[in-house]
Amino acid sequence: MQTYNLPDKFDDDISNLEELINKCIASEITPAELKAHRVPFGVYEQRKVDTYMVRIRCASGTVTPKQLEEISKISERLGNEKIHITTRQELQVHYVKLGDIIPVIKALRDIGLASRGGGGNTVRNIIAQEDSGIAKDEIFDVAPYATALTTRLISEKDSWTLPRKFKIAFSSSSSDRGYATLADIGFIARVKDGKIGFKVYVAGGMGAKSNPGHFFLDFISDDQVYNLTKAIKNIFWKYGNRKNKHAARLRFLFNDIGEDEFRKRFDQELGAVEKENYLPLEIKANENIGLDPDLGDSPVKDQEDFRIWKERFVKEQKQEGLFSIIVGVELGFLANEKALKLAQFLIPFGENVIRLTKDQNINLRNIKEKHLSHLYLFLKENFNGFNRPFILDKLISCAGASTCQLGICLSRGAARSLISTLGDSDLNLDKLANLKVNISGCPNSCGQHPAADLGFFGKANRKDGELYPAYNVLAGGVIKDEETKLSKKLGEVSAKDLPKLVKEFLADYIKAEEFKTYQDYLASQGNNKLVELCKKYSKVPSLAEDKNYYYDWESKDIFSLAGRGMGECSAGLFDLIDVDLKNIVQTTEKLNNPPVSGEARGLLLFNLVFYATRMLLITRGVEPKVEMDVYTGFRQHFLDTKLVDSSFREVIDAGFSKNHQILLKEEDKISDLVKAVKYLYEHMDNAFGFKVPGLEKKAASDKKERVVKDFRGVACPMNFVKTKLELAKLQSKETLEIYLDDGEPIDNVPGSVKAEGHRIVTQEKIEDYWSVIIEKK
Amino acid sequence: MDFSESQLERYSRHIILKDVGIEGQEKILKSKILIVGAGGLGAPAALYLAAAGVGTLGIVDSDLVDTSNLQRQIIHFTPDVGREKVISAKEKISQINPDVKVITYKERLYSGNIKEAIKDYDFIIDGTDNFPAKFLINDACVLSKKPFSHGGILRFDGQTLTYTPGNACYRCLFKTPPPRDAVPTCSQAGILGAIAGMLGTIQAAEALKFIIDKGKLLTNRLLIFNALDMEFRTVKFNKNPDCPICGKKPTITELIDEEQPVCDLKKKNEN
Repeated sequence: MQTYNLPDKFDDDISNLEELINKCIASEITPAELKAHRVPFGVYEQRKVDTYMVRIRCASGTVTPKQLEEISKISERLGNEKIHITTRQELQVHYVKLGDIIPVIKALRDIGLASRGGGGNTVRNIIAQEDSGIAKDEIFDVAPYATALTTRLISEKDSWTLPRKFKIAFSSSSSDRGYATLADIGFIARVKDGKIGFKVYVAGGMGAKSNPGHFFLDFISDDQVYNLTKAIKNIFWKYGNRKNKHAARLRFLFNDIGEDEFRKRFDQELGAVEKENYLPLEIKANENIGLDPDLGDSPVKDQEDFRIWKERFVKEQKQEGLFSIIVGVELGFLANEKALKLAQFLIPFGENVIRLTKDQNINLRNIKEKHLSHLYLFLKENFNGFNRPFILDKLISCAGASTCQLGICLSRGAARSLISTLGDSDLNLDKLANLKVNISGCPNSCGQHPAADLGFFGKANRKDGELYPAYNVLAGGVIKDEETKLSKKLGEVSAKDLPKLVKEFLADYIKAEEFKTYQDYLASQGNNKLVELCKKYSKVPSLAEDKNYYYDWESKDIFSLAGRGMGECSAGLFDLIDVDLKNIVQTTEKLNNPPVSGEARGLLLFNLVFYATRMLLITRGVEPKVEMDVYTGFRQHFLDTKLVDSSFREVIDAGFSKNHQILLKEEDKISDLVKAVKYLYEHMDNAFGFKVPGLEKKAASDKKERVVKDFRGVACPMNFVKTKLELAKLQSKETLEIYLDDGEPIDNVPGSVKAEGHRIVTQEKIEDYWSVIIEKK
Repeated sequence: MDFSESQLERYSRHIILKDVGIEGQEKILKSKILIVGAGGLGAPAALYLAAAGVGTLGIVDSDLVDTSNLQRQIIHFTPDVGREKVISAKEKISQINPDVKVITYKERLYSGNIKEAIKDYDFIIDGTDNFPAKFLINDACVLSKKPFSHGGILRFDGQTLTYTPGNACYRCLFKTPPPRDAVPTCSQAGILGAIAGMLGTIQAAEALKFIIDKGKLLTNRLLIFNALDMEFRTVKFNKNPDCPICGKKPTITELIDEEQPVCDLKKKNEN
């Protein structure tokens, strides 16, 4: 069985990354430069210094037993003691050393897997509901579409340079177990007039500002999947917001331009895509048949336990005589050794037997009834707690503040505490097998709390001036075609009391047997119960009364927000440009502070030319390997195209030949070159085009420095008043840069400026304040 | 375009408005508005225009403050009784906004001096209380091509229209003053003080809209309201081709002083 195909040029990509890693090890490039290439390759830095996580793309959550076997070996050899299943149906290898990244990536390549697109602003793993192909209620198997689409998209270069991550999901029926109604593009299988195809949702997603996908098309035939995806990807590539990663996902573009405009652009893009006559996706059906390995007789002694296990985890497939089985994996962490044994046990059952699930468990399929006992005995021997109620393993938590820089609370600690509280309770947990309990450590939805039946996301509360970890309490998320709605906040609870609150709430739900569904329960009783429980636990003792409330779960340190930082997951092109911008600032400072002369000055000027010349090459798709590439690239893409005035040719040549005499003589020209490059950057649009107002007029306006005004410390609305005063002094299309405080100022001023018809060119957070660049209307 | 820090703050709520902004506030600061009559209508209009930062305010009134004025002429305070209205008004304006230059005219306007009085102003507010003055202001503004706001109040009623050159004028609607005794005067009929405030501030708003050149003025429309029922309506009317002053064959080509009684109380004060 083929999972997805690796792109033809994949080996080149690996070599490039290898070279950069080697350079980084040799300190020839900075870690920041490496990061911009590393993250889109699915390699994230972990909190432990110099260790990395490699995220492996598993389209539709499919891995073969042989692949799983190899991954567990790779993890054992080059990672740590366990692998991890993600909520996007992927596998991760953790704590890989910098020098081991390439060996890991090559070993994965050898078994047909890639980490590329595991992170960064890329087409992320394409998911499909885990029981697609075997579910009784499905329209048809959608997993082959996820696989084929993966093959196609990962071979396209522009899949790696999107404004932000791009998530695609497939569901095989309207019950939407693939979360298609929460994706950038979501496909839900349906049949119309005898043709198979999909209903399409777009621009949904979870994050700091989650929203359900918007209904987009009632039906497209299945041969249109690629064209539609390509058209939407093109819209995103061209118009998505590249400069503000907090408002960059497709849903922000959709909201920004509105549905009508979005559809208009879609029609344009689709028209263009259709003219290209791309081949439709090559769909290879997955065979769901049961194999018959000879495993001998293995009688089950404890028939009652066997029966309970079957009730809990075994489900009939639509294929008669075949069964699917859930293997619970607490919080998605699977020891290498267990993964290895499971893989080896499964190899005789064929290749199409494993799906990784969105709730971080494993779903096995295509097992004949007579082999259930074999599987049961295997799990009993190797997986402790394999027969505990499913809710304990279904529960989802994000990584939380222990490893995530954005994290506020230690969500995994809270989750483990909750698991043990529930596990130790006398509640009938089997009644909760389908309940989605989700915990995120911060508002960024990685624990998928917006989709939860009962969800939490971390926050920091204050009592008498002391911070303590707490969670917002949410409930009522529904994910279903036409019915999707996000969970709503009902209250909050301290991290400490979270397990107690959940236990009491679930006890109430279990007891309330008169309700048909959890939704019914919530509507008539559950919501009130949650509100009441939040009230009950709202009293937090002072630090002096009870310290425990001020320590997060599994933490030895008193709770604080120190060490929170920027997330890595959107590292990309702009970080590279930033590297050179910073280089330029630093070099300029070194030149004059105190003034340097002679040879040393010549060298600094050379550096300045080099950084200015290199800074924007990445926007033209040039990734210079050697110094010469920088100059040839700049000549070709900026001088020859007249984006930069040809009068700079001399200093560029002098930089290339390292002629310090000329550089020293032409210092003013060099500073003009820096300005010219910065000017282009400021006028770059979201698709890397330079919107320079009238190229011929450019030289004149180049000399005019952009006005920068610092409105930090100026309260609303005076900051807006002063912004208007400055704008009034400008000509149309000239730009103004202002600094604003975080909070009310940044929330209000750009919107007000926009409402007056001016354009916000960029809006970026710098430390604790914001820089906003405005183009006058 | 030099706004001081305190000016920015003072006018911030104007500047924030998309339709005013820095540019609009600048126009206001440069504008010159003449208010004829520092009484029931002129008082609120003068206060709001001063607060708005109108560069030059001209105030015309020949009267002294009377105790019976205080019920509605809110620019004058109790200690001002017996003082010249223009001086009383000027003091209050300077206190509200020292940016405003005030020019006072302690005189009655008539056909001989009105053209000279209005010639330097961008906009004129008619805050007078008698028909001859209203017709005089209309005629002078039409002949001098000056925009103005007409206002009239009685009991619980108010009416106002705005004239700008080229549009219908007050005489297009009312050819001549009503016959003597046909309309009661203030002293006979009375006026709810707040009505003066309502109408005077509408006139001030019209003046500011004209200055910043935004929105739709009350041109070719008469706004009428009755505060007892609190009903407002506008009546559209067209430029009258037979209008004696702005029509095709005008009969009034020079200013005239119409005959009409003024308020009894005022007469008393003049004596």
